[in-house]
Amino acid sequence: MQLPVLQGPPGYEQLPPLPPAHPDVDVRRRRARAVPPSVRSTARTVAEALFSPDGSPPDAARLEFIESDFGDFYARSNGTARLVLRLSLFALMWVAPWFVFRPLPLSSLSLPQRARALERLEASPLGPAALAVKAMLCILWFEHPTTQAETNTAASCLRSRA
Amino acid sequence: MTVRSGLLEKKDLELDCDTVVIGSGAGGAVVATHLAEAGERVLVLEEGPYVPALDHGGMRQSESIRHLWRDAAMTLAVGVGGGPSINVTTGRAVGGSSILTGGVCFRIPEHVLHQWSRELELRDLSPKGMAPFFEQVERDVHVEEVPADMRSRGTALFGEGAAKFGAALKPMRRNTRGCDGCGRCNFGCPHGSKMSVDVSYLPRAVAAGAEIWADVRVDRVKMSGARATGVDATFRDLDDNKHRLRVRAERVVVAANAMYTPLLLERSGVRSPQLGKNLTLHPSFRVMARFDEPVRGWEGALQSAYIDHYEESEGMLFNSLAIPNGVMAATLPGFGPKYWSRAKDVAHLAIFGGMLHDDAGGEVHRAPFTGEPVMSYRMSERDFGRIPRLLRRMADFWFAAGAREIILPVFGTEPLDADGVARFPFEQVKGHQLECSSQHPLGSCQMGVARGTSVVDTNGKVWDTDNLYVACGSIMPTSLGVNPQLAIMSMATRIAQRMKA
Repeated sequence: MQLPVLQGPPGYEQLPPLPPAHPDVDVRRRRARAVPPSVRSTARTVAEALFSPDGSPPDAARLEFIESDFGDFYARSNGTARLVLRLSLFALMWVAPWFVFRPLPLSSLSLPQRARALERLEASPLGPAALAVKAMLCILWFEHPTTQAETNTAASCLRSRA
Repeated sequence: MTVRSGLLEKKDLELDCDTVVIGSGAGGAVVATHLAEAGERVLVLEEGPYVPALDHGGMRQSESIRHLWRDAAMTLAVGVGGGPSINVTTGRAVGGSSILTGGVCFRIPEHVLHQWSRELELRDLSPKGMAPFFEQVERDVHVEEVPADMRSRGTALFGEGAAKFGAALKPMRRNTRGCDGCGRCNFGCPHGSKMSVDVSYLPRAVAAGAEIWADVRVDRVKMSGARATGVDATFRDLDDNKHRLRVRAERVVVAANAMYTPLLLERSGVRSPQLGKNLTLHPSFRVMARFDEPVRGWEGALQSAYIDHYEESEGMLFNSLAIPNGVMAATLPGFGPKYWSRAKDVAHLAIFGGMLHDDAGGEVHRAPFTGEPVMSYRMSERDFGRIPRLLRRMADFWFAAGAREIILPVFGTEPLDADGVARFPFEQVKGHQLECSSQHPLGSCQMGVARGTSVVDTNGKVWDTDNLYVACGSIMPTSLGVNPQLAIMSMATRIAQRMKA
């Protein structure tokens, strides 16, 4: 897309904008930290239950994508965010099953059992842990063009730019 | 001249300047610009990365969150004393939080300025005293009123409902020029239409000779007695090797936001009983509504209108907003088929925010081991008691506009119809059940007229120092009750003027 020439506020239109960044410092190309396998697998376990449309798992390719993208999100986040996500994922994987009296990892439960366990955890004082993971998964899921087509939510502006 | 980055340097560095500014957000950028234009050699140090304004549109929202939002939007003020914990979101990039705001530009309300100038004896901060600074900033960042036809459908509906209760929707003023209403200001304007400081002030600063360094973290201000002599900073190169940056300066300005400024001052040897205290957050609550028709709330100015009908009497401000569809969907309760049956209709959801003009109940602490800030927040009884009224009122407005059901910010609560809301035990909701957020951490290094009760004097100078200043949201003497961007810029303009005098 051709972007317009950047213009400053009145009186400063002739001022050049800040220059482009050096390609080596592009935030998307920066070195990413290693991601523990449990982070990706737990994210996938929760996503399978969360986005199950009819009791069966969602499309495998979508799950691959969200597992990979969640991993990238984790890898590029700083220490506080990683800590919050790790603790939240731990709660969902290991604590949630206790809410349905199944002291097993969440991944070993059937999808309906997982959904029930996660719903009960969500309504408990551990609700913020569920929201942290759910919010991240939902942002990534709803950004995907397939979901945008399914839900009629493709990005659009009120005034279309010529 | 480019924006330098610590990543591209391979050895320790030493730099000299007249003024070093720590932080490139709404406060730091303004001070840097005015001092550079006055002929000073200015250096701006920013911990976060530099993303040129026109690059934001190429990022997905989640990419913006992971790269430009501090803690990937997972910063928490821990609720104590029975109040809610609060998710506090701020920016971490050249331009600071100004690149992530909705562009809202409120002047500090007159009743707040009267309180500052009369009760707190900050005589210069009266409505008359602050007016020239508001006017100057409004010109500098092109503050304009959002026309009614730029409102999203959701905002218009909330306004229709509120009008039936006698509360009028008013147009917001924002620092925009050529906004198309894409509803994604919080992730950087895709068209450079938001006059955030990386678009408005920093190009002026650079043109006047200021140098901006991204990816550099300041560890401490170097002090020699009462005099600040520069800063010690660190950065990492592309191979992840750590290096030092030493800056010698005649003046140091800290503008590192209300979370980091008090810790940086403490690490630098500043001792004040008020350091890190009196943090205010403007605790905010969203109430969503489902309509039979698609609302498509992202189409329109992200923030376009507000209701201040209850601000002065009850400390409540209602702000229009849009949030990513994924986040709206995440706040719907449940998992699995039942959840998805609701979430797939996310285009039918509308959202509005309610914000409290809070008492100063927060505090910034240093975390053991990491040294990072940790916030605690004790919500006052008065503020906690306002929450049921605020939520009920928003629900009433939505139903009056024709909503089928509403979704409260109470964890695990099912969507409610009008009868459900009438029966809902709002007063019994505990703090830990509330989903609460804040975008406005303010006041942890308050300005005041006495060293025992404040951290900086009326010129923004840290008490008992010669040349160490603070110019970010942390200096606010009380909560504002409105979005603080313009207030921060105006206070910074005033501080810069005092420095030049």
